[in-house]
Amino acid sequence: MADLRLSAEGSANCLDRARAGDLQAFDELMRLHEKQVLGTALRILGNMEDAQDAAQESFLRLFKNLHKLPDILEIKSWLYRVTVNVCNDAHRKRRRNRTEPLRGPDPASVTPDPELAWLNQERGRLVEMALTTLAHKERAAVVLRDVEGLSTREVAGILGTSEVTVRSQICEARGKMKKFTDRYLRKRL
Amino acid sequence: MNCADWEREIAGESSAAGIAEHLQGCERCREFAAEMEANRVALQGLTVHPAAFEAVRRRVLDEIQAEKRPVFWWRWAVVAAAAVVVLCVVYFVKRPGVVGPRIAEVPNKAPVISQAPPPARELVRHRRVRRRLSVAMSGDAARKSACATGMSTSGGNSNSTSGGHSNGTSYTSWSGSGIGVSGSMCEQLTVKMLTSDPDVIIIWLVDQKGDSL
Repeated sequence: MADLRLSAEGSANCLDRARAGDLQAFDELMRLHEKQVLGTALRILGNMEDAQDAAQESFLRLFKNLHKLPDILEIKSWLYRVTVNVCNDAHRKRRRNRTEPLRGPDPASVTPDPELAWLNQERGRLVEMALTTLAHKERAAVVLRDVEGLSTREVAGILGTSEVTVRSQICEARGKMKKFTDRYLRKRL
Repeated sequence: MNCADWEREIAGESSAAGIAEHLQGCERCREFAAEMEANRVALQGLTVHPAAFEAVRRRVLDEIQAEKRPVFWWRWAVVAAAAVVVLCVVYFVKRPGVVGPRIAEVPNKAPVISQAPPPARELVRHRRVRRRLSVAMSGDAARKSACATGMSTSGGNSNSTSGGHSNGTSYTSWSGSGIGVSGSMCEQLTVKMLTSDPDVIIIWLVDQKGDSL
């Protein structure tokens, strides 16, 4: 408990120094939230290059709006909202300029592997592929709910929709992902 | 409810009563739920290489510094340029020995007219020349020369003229423009022009043909 309080005080101090223009303090702030921002962007956008661009833009917006954030505790939810918005913008831009369609790999083209032990390791790669087959809004909802572990209410707040909509999107997304993994695993086995 | 309905409830995180009971009794739905959980764990287990984080942080800090830098240099460049311009203006305007452009004031009063006294030597020489001319010239030439003494002074200013003849010598002055004229009507005319600057007086010598000497 004491450690937690010390950590919160340290973060608040870090925020104050970053507001004053201390780049080292802002670097510490980024370290605190980089997994959240880059991880979310990567899973929503589906490739590292776009995700890094989105994370960069999110952190730059954070730097410009540091004075508007009253509390260090606000940063996490604020960053989620900004990251999702930046990913939405990137998705729209990519859809306009897209030269090749975004689709998952053809399961039949993957070499079958008889080792069942591989399944758990492969599942990670599979769900990552499955994510790319989802609609953008579904992907954002399932990433925030299942990867980031936010509650349905928090996800609804970040996405600006109702909890019912979020539940529906998550249900749809999980069903599609399961079908994708089933199809792949059945072909393998 | 059939299994498809239950699967939708499970995937949608429904809080519908009876899910747990159905899962206990239904092998297919248990498998479905287990697979959902496995997918969720797999999603959470996805990792990002640390170098990717480092790259993002570096790009952000570079961008912030790049945004700060041009503002700093731009401001100082403007200040320096303004200082150079001011110094140049001050140097050229206040440089010693250089009189800046000045607009002459229009005099309220009529300018002072000075009547230049006739140079004594001129008169003497004039007489000598006249004598010589009168000796050397024939009757017609002498008459022409005599007519030349009645030649009007050129100068273009006709405000008011005053003057007179005294032994073939006339002294004429114009008022209104600070111009004084003096000299012999037959030999040379001295035009003295007074300017607004008291240190500058323009003296114009003209012979009887009107040519400048």
